[in-house]
Amino acid sequence: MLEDEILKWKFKRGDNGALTLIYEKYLDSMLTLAMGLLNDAGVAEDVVQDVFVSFAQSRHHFRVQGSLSGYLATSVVNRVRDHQRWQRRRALRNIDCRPSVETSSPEQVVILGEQARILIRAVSDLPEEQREVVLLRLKTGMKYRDIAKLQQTSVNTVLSRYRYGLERLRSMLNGEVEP
Amino acid sequence: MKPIKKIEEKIQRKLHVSAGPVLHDRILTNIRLADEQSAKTAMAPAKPIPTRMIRKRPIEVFAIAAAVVVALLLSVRLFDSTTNVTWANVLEKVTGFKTYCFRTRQVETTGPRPDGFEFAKEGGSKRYYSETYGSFTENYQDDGELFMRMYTLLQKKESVTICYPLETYSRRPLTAAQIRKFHQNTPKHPKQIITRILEADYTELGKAVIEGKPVRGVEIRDPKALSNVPTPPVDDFSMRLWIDVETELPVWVEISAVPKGSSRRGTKIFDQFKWGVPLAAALFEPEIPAGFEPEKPTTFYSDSAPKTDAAEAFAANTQAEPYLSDFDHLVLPNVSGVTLLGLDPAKAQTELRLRNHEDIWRAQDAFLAKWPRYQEVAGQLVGQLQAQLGVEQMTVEELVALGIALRERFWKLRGSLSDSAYPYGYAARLVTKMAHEQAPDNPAVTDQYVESIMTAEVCASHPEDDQSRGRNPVYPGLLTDLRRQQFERLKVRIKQGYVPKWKDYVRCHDLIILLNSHGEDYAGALAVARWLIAQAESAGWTYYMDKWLVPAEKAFAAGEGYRGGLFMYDPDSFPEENRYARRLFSFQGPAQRRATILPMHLRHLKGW
Repeated sequence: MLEDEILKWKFKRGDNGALTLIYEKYLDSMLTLAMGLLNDAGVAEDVVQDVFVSFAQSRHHFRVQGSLSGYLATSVVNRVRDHQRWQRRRALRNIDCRPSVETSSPEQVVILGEQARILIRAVSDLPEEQREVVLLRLKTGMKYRDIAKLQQTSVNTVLSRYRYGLERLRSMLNGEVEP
Repeated sequence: MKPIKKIEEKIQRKLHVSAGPVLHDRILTNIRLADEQSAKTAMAPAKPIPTRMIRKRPIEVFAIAAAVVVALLLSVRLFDSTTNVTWANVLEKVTGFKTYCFRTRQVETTGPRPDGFEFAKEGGSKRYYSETYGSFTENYQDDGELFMRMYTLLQKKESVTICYPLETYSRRPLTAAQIRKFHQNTPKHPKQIITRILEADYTELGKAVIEGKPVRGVEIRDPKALSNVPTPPVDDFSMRLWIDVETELPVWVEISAVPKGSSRRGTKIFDQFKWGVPLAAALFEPEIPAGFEPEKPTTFYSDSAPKTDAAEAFAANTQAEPYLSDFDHLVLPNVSGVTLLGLDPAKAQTELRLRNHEDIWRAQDAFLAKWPRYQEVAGQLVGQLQAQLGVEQMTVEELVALGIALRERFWKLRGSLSDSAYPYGYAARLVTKMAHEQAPDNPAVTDQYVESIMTAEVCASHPEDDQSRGRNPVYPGLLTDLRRQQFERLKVRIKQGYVPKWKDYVRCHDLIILLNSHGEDYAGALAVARWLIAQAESAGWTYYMDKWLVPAEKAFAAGEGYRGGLFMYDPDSFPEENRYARRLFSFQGPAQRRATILPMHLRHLKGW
């Protein structure tokens, strides 16, 4: 955590090395979070890229009091929600207005094992709020009260969502994942 | 059915997604692009909130300093010549106060210097002292945000620290010795500093104006006046005290020093004094915000920290073996009179103003582009070195000593930021090559040759567009061959009973980096990584296992490159380390830098 404070300080001072270190440190965890929330490697990549690009652009007005991990995770969640809203609108209109872009196959760019695949599939079957709580808590270590703030609800509701989420995962995963 | 705990563990451990190299590089490129564009279009940095207690930026500090100088020049007209200060009164008044508060700032600057650096960083705090209740300190970050509150509570006999960014706090009992020390005032304490200045053989600075008030100042330049215990050697030192002419109370105290051989000046400023101000008991009652958690004990690097005398001795003999100690006993020849390739080392250098590492790298690229290549001048250099120094008749140790001296000369002439240093860098390479040819089985001599090559050769250039990065072929070529030779010889020695040392780890680490990053020979890198893993227990470098060696092995086994380090490095290397950053991690650079590149978790060991 203290290392993050130093990185934040250096980043704000214009040290490009700090930006790279932050990126290296949090890329995989943010990608994991985005994949867990979306179960779509292509969109997860876009989300994570947008988050880090915005972060890089924020250098001159950067003010983060809490943890870097929490800040980046919140950004990922917000972008995932934007994407999901956009997708719902698109489904309502039944129009695909997304430009067609040739990209490399997700398998080439994202690396995940078979167990992670099974877990992501299971997590993606959880209701949206439970999915967010479980992933934010277990993959980024965010505090319950910070998750509550992000979901604009009480800590007790967050705790319930966490509990229900894990119960559902337990029944879904029984026997599927190696110990 | 699995218990909930198991599901939590499963998600924590097994749900993991990594970015492949393509994605990693693509996002990183976009980030850098975005960062550069935002830097170009950025507005002026936001000014800190005016009511912040810590609001002076270095430039403001310099502005104040300039104002003091101007006021000094004008002082004859500003003041009545009869204005007088009784310094004994000042001392008496200051020692009599039981309460007071002040602001303190630590400003660290480098340059502007002939070799190019001009950086500044600053931190600060507001402090309240009461002989009855204790002390209360608020630390602020560079952007003026509250970072930490620290309390020394004399009546409760405890110290309390609240860290706001981390949302943690700690409570520790105060020992009798700590309480005694508090009342004695440490040399860092302004009351003590003022006393020491006024009791020493000070020089009057005359009159000036600080923040609109007429002041008079005194100065001492002897660092021994600060402390009774021996102080580290310095190249420059001053302590200054400015007092309000009207109240005869200190308004500004300053300690400034340049440690011996350092490029950095540290200045500590105490100001905004309020002497004898009433400080309520409530000020010394810590309020720990709801939700803050007790600080967990720091466990940095604990797995490698030696815990017993035997472990300490083992670590000193293995992990902390000085990388270049084999030749520390050599007396270096004086090469200041050696002139090579017809260049005049005394010629004035191009003036440089470098504000960040990008500037350093780009300036370095510009100089390197003007130098001839080593191969183009090597023949000419051999003739000149033979004519002036008789290198062909030298022993291995004489050649190594000459190589080190030539390298130091290279750095003294500004190294890679110079028009005239390169002949000495190239000459160092030549003579250490001769030493290596005489003693090819001596890994320490080979290290000298490697170091000399890297002195004048950086891994890669750093062009503006960052797309056409030029790689230096000497890294996948000659340097890889040299490290590979050392590796093969090491394997043979180990079969003969030799116990590998940390130095061997450094050499193997270099080889992995060369094979991985420069040669993209992942199978070769895998073999070296596996060998290092096999030696870890006996050699004492288990610290690196989980962090780097095992992930590296996995990446190489999967036929992929590995981007992480295999080595500890100092994350606080900003800014001057960037000057040496584009070389292998084992690179030593100038002698004065050597002490700073020991892996952080080994710095407690003596002998480095």
